[in-house]
Amino acid sequence: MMQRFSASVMVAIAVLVSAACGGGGTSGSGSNVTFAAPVSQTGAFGQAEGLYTLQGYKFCVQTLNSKGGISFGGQSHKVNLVTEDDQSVAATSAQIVDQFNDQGDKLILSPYGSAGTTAVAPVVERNNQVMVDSNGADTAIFSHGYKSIFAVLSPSSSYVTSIIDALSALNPAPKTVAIIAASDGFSQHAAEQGVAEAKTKGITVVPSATAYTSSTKVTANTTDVSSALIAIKGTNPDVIIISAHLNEAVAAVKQSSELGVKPKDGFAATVAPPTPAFISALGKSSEGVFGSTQWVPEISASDSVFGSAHEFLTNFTNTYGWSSEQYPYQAADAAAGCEALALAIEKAGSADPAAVRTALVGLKADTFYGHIEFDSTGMNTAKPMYVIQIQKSAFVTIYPSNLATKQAIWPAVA
Amino acid sequence: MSQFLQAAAYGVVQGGLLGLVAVGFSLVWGVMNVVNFSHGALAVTGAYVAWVLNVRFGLDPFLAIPVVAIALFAFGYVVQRGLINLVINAPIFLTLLLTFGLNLVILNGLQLLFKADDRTIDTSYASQSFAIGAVNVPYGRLAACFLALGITVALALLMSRTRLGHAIGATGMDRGAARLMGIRARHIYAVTFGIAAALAGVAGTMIATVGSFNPTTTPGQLTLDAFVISVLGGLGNMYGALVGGLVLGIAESLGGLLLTGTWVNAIAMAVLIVTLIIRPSGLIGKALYSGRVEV
Repeated sequence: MMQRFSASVMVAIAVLVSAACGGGGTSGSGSNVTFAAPVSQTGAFGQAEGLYTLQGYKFCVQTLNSKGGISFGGQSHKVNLVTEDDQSVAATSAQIVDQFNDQGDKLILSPYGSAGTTAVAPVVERNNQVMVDSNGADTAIFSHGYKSIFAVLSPSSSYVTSIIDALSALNPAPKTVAIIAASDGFSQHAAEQGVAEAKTKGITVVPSATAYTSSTKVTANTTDVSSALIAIKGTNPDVIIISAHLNEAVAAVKQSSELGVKPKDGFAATVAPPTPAFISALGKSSEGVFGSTQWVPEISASDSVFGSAHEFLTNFTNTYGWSSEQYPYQAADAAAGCEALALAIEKAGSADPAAVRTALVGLKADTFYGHIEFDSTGMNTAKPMYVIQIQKSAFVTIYPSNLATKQAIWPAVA
Repeated sequence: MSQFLQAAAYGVVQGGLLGLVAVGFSLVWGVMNVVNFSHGALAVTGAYVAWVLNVRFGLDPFLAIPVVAIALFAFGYVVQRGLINLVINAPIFLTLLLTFGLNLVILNGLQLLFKADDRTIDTSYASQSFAIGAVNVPYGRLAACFLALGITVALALLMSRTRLGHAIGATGMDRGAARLMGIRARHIYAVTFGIAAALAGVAGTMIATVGSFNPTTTPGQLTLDAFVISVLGGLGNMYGALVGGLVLGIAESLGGLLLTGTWVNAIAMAVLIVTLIIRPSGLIGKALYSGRVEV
């Protein structure tokens, strides 16, 4: 009798321990895998880019888990997503990643933006963590010889160059452009590469080719770019390109009207135009603005997790209540980063960070986001960038031409 | 030359807007010796009131100003009577802490109500401009500049020509003596804070009309601007905030043209430091206000 009672107690304890460990008790389920991410939920990026990134991570984890999780070691492993608000401060991102390490979280998804990713990268390296970067495009991040940082997105060098390429394909192509650039490394590098691309396309940069480092350089995240616009005034550019983030791009379009700086053909900007916040902040003034983007749903790409690019768009926008005509591409970046990490774990057959790192080095995957493959520095240079134009409050892909859904409105200003 | 004139013109109208932001802050600091860290939050509250009136009822932001001012005056009066008066005799650091806490409560409340999205009051005219030769003057900022001038003159007249103004001034100079003269200091402080809150709300309405605002980054910037402008212009003179705002606006605009836009904050601080070295009481401030009696 006593023995039967003891056995019952032992079984009960085993069940309780199993339940407490989150094992679920089903055959074939392994322990959970934790992805940890410092994501801006307040501060400069909290209302837009950080929010989109967080939603991309959440959607990825939700989708992975709905399909049984990540398979390795003969078992399915559900994914936990742990996030902390970095308040849009790069140093806070780095502190959070250190805290993740103290908690034993080794698999890191990047914060939003190059500044945060730049701050986090050395911490990840020092702690023997591994990070997939979904939203930090500055090529400087990959110039330090880091071994554990892998970016799914195209590098900063592509942002303004893709705009220049798209503009030069229009008829008539612009003859002059002015480039306003924020002071952060990403925006400056994107502008620098854009100037070089403009030269190859025969487009003159006004007021000078180096103005983005002086008279048309503005403080990152500022809402006053009047000094740059005044410097441009009188040079009458065909197009004004803003190499910056949301705040600067919104300010540039708004203040140009106040200061009578009217580009003949229109505006273009990196990062900001393909975000819903850009349209809500500018209203009708956002019409016709061109923007470079990391992802468009028209690409011919698919995978077993998210399905096709169009299916990703439909499911993501339905989940978070976005319009399918105003989708935040940063969420696709984030979901792709999360998916790359999951694919690497499956390939490695382990969630051990060293094994995952090795798997990421050799990863070659075709996903809803496009091809993911990392070069020796950790960048995904194979993936192209795209250009959209805002038409009737919708993102319309206009470049490359084989993906274009409509013709560009050109000139883009009335 | 045309760039210089454009920068100067923009600096003047921008300076007027900055002066409007600072005038209420300067009043509370000068009269009550309270550095109000919730000033930016009050301005953004006013911006939201005007935005709601515009989006829901189609009310033009300039027509919404009286509604915003009355709502913010009532809010400011209650906050002062019910909260800040409790620590008005405490060291300045305690009032700093209290207004900082008030700032956080207001901003978190606004985030709960409106989320953290950037908002703007869309009008057909605010972002437009008229040209004088090669110089464009934006309508919205020009209107804000005139509004700042009008409010400053009205405030100066209130302070110099009315019993209420004399009571506010007397309480600011020597609270004990003012009480002996029969002035109800608690009420006067609440009225002063209410006026400052109303002015902050008006400034917020203008910010929302010519630019954009959100509850995360805008309030801190407005409070910092108000602080710098109040010190620059000087306390104890109703025109101090306007003068400080104009000087700062012009300095930032011309400085941004001569150097780069990234130097704007450094230029503002340099102007402030140089001014304080030459005139420690600010450009037109009264030294009396740094040595007044608090009983």
